[in-house]
Amino acid sequence: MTDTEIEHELEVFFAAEKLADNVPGGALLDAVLRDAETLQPDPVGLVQARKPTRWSFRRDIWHALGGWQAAAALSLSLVVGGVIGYTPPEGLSDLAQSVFDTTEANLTGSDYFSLDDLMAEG
Amino acid sequence: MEMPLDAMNDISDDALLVLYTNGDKAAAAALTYRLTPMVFSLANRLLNDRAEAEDVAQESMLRLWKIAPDWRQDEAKVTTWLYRVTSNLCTDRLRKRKGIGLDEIAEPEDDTPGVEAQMQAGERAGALRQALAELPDRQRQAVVLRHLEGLTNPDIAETLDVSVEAVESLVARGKRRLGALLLGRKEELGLEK
Repeated sequence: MTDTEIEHELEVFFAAEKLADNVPGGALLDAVLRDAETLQPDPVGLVQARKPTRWSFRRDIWHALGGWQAAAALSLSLVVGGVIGYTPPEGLSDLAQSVFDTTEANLTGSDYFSLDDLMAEG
Repeated sequence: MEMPLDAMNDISDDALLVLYTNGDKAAAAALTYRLTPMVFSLANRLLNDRAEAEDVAQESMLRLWKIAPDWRQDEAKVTTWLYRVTSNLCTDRLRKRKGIGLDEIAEPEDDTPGVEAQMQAGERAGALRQALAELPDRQRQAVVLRHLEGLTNPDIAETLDVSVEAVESLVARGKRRLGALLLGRKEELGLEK
């Protein structure tokens, strides 16, 4: 018998097998689905888009000057300067004496521009 | 947003696996209902034991869920990969089973009494399964994949990790052996009067 003849003869068996009950039971499908859900990675988190911000001239200036960081540094230096001015640390007077030959600043009128002179010069 | 189950009929297995990995519950269900019957069918035909086939089918699908996050779409078809895993799991089971007599292997159930044609079809299917059980593992897998699961020779070659020529040889030798086992029983199975 040739291979083709054998195949032809076997067809009836293959056809019978294809008709046979070969469908999984509901319990198997439930078990497989349970496994799938147990092993399923968490849903990918969606990142919420940021709301568009309105243009602001004041905010742009504020950012151009350095924002809150620059404001904080300026405030700190003002406070420290005030503290040093009112209660100078030990040794500062000696240092001023050796450098300026005095510990006091004596501002006289000649240190300033005369308002009258400025008015005259235009 | 998840798609309804019936809207996923046209989506490929690969795409469903991506959706599954992204947490889509409907994709998990769609893959389960689409692929489990296929895997179970192959396992049942190779093992000729419904309970064992269910175990193998569940294990095969479990491996699919585990590999899903690392699935590389261009490397293999999901079905081919599943057929390969299922075939290998069945081979393992059949090797463990060696030593058990053929008579102890479960006969396929036939709970539709009263209709002669159906009974005969059941008997022929049972005879085929018994004959398949006598084939070497690779021949059995090749014949089942080719003539019962309807795969092409190149797909079988990929599943069994052999050349197409080797598949042709396995199928031809398997059918010759089946012929020797079955064609002598034609009268008994109602094929010759």
